[in-house]
Amino acid sequence: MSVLNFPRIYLGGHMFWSPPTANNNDMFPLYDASKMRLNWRFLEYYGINPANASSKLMPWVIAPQVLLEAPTYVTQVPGNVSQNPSVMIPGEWNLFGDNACGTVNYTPADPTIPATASIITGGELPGGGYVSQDPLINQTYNLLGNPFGSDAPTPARFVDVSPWQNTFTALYFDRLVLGDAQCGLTLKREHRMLDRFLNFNWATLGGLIYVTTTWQTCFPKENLSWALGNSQLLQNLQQQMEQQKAKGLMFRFSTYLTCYDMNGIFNDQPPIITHTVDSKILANVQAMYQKGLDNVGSIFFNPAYSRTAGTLGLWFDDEFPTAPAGRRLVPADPVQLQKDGVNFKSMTLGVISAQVHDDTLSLDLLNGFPSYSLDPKAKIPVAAKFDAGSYQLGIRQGEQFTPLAGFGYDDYQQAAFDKRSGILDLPLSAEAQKQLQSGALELQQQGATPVQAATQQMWTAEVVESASFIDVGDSKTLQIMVQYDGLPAPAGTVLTVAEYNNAYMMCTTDYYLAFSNPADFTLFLEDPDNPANNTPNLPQFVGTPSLTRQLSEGTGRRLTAVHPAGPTTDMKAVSYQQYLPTPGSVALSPSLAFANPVQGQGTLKDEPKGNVQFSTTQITTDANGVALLTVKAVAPGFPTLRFFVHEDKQPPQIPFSFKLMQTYTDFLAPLRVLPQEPEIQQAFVDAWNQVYKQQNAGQLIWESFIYPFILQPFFYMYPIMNKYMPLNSLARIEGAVDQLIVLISKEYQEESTLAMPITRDMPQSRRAVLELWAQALVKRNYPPIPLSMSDFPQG
Amino acid sequence: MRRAISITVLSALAGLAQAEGSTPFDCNQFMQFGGNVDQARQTFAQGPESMSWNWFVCLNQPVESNSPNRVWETLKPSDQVYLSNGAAPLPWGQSEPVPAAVLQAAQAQGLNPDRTFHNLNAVQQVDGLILEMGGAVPTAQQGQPVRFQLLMGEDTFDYIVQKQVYNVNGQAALTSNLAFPSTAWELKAAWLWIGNDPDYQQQLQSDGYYIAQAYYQQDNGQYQVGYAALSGLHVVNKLNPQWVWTTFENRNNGKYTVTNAIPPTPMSNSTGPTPAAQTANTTFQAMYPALAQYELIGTQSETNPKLLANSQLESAFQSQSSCFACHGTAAYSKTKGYFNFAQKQQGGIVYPTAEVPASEFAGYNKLDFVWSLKRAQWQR
Repeated sequence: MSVLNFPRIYLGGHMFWSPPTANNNDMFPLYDASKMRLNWRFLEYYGINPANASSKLMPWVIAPQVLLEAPTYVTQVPGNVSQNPSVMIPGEWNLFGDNACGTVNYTPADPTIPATASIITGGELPGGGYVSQDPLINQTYNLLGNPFGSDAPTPARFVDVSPWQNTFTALYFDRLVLGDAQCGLTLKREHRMLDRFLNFNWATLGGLIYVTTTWQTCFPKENLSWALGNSQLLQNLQQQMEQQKAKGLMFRFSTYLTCYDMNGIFNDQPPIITHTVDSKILANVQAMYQKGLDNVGSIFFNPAYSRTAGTLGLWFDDEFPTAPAGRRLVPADPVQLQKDGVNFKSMTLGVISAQVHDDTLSLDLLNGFPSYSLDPKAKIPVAAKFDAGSYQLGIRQGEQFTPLAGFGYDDYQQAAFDKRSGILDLPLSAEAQKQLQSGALELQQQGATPVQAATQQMWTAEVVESASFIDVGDSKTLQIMVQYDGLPAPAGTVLTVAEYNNAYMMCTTDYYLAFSNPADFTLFLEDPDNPANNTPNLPQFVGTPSLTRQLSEGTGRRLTAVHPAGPTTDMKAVSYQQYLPTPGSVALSPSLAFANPVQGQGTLKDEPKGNVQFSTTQITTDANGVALLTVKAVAPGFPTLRFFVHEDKQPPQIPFSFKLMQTYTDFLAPLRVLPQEPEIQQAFVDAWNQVYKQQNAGQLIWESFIYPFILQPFFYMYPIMNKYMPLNSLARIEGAVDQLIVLISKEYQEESTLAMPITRDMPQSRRAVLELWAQALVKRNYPPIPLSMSDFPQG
Repeated sequence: MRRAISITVLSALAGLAQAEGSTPFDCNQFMQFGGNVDQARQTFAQGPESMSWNWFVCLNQPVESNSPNRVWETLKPSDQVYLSNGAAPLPWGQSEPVPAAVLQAAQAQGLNPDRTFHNLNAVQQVDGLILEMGGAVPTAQQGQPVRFQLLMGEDTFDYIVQKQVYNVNGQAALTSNLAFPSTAWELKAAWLWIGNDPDYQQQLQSDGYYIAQAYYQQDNGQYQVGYAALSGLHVVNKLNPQWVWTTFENRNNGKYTVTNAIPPTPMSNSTGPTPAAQTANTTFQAMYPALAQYELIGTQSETNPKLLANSQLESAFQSQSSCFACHGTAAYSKTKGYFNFAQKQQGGIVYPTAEVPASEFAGYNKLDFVWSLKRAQWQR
């Protein structure tokens, strides 16, 4: 049922995204996120080391750097050197970012700049029928965070699960708030969000501005606080939730048309241009960053902004809480896109969900058709939809396609998209409803030769606990909800699960199977004359299909185009084992151990035809279509689990590698494994016991341990903390130790928006030391008594 | 010159302040409530805000005729009570010497060696945050923190010495709750740092700020010496068993201090002046021109009013600021240390605005609302 069911409340506007960018650098491996340490081996190349970091590191981070002057292992990474910036500031575009996100409502002082509003735009009656007049309409909505010692709202937060893979972003929030205390609805979080269907293919239309993603979360009815006022929209939603015995409410939205350097337009931050190679402009960025580092009064944000549209509707049993459930169409063949009646490019569509309810077929086109900016010079991008032709949705039975409903550009163009937040309702006869159940859905683009634009993904599998953090040594059980043809999978459905990883600390790159032996293979092909031509190599096991090599222009957030790679003559093969010793590599060894592992091995087709030993597991659905997977964290890293359904009871072929570009339709669960460093706890106890009798014991333990071993990387990578709790200042932390103790707690690390940015990354062993230091020493004003390992909280 | 006039005016009023609608308030021994605590309680109950203003006026009298110091400036600053080595403090009336480097710098600047030098040694509020200066302050002061100091009255000090809780050793040895005498007083002052900037100093004087001589030690060990302007003052005493909480601030603070938003906005007070304080302000500001730019924000007795904050001292958490509730958590446990009043609630941090249940203090000795005891150090 989902938001495609009636009734609905539509919302739309703009969202802001303010990540700290120094730790999330696409180009330079500045931060070793696996170990949560600065990448000193890389920094040494620039003459920066732990001894001189306090004076040299941040000046380097904010200074323009020439990419081609970087170490070879940096420029070698496929996609890192291209037509995109030859010079960039490692701190990138938002040095002081605080991970905040939310909706935007802003009226600039400059009357030539349009105001921005994020509001409830309309709704749908219980039986269908658009509602444009209601007290709730035109009221604002927002995602908010947890309280920080004040009734003032705090922002929601988001973080890329892996700093070197911006495919998956987790969104932490405390509540969704619509309207106000007189007429509104507050929805308390049950499930944090993870972006879904992030489609990097669309970046090849001309940049990240084209990339669209879907977000979803659901709220049990107990988590809702209603202020109905005179709103029929709210009353309908509440009544229908009860009458239809819904589990609660679902909020689904998309973000698209993302743009950068919009200060002064969406906000009152100082205007700045960071996306340039112009040396004068970059010098200005450097100067502004320096001012902010020198004086907290000069700190500023430079968020990214997206358009957003969403729907609030009903949430029923068996529906994935954090991803669209039901029948799902995934792109097949590319269709021709037109702009102003002129052919633009061919491109595949996005993911589309479909739902029949009563005599209506509802399609979720939130992420189905790409948008572009109508006027690239407009201060605020105005969205328009490419004309991708007209379509028939029908049923495929073997060679036979039976059309059941049709729609054209007018039905998905921007005005229609804005009106119903991308949902398209089509009337469906009783006969058509019956037929719809008789085969697989298919979307055909109409024309002289119809194009199979999208086909039904019969099996879907979504992980409820995606983006979880696990500590080395700990186990975690994940729930995987599996559906077939939009309904819970039959009991006994088997899935194979495999772990994949990325090989580089830079860029956003392809995936390789985790393996446990010292296998080798060609990781990428290098053009010795021009690293911009370097291409990834994606070897496969003997007996599995090969993948075409691709050459990308730009990478990650700067990806702009992908072409088939040219011939490999004159290209030099660089193997995984050759690249692994460099400071830019990430080991492809497993971070996870499965509870019931199935040991596998395979031989790679390509030279050197290495033998690969790996581990998978099989899990089985219960009567509700839910399978449980238990993993144990064995090594720090950013593993991605991939789920393969055994279709027709046949075990799947496990690919050794797969492309980043296909991840948006795969069933993946990114996780983060934090290291355990038990030795650091004993080392802390020993360090304190050496100094506790001294008059300045507090200062000594800070200088010798707490700052260098725990807080230093966070001080450098999150300079926004200078504003609230400078992490290099003992006095300031002592003066905020009560707050520190609350904010670094384990439970807040899991879910609180206030754990950002310093403690989400923190390994438990370092957190344990910080907690013991704060509670046993700082809170007791450094008692002259020794510590022992038993002073750490047990269990 | 303007400051001199102000002091002259106050000198003329020495010994007398005004209880609204009644006989003039007698500043003589006002910190002992004139020797009659019960009478003082009655007077307070009749008009808490007037009483608060009268105390404020008395505190702002010159110590004696021709003295450059006001009464409150002679109270004992906390850094002279809780010594860094945990040793016993010097008796009341005696002070640790001002650092020689400070006196040397003061002399070079032509400061008055007979006047108090305030050690503005703190920059953090109890929520752990600083209050930034901004707006109309000079460029050099933009983004710099407002500075704070804590002072206590003689009976507060004597009790701390008597109980030997001026160091943590003494607090750890406690076997019962503390109970300060009714005549215990504490003050907390907020200061805009001026340094040596005559134009800025003049500007602040024109806006009715009291200007004092001050210093603070920087992270590198060196001292900053110069002038500072009083932007806020908490005045609390134990006239009632749950103490009485009053707070004053300069009406122009929004010109010189800002929120911690990015970009910052002018600081304001969301908790007052309360209606009763507004009435008292009108009366007393008219009577005392030298104090006319200061306003009483409110007087809190237990949970009435529920919230009370000084924009200079509880800047960012005004909406969860209750003097009574927060100070009511002052407690020390030998094993757990000082009670954490940053409550772990709603996935975030919430400060108490009502009395915290006694059950949460199991294992703690309560410190009778006196959080300054947290500043005590161990005597090793």
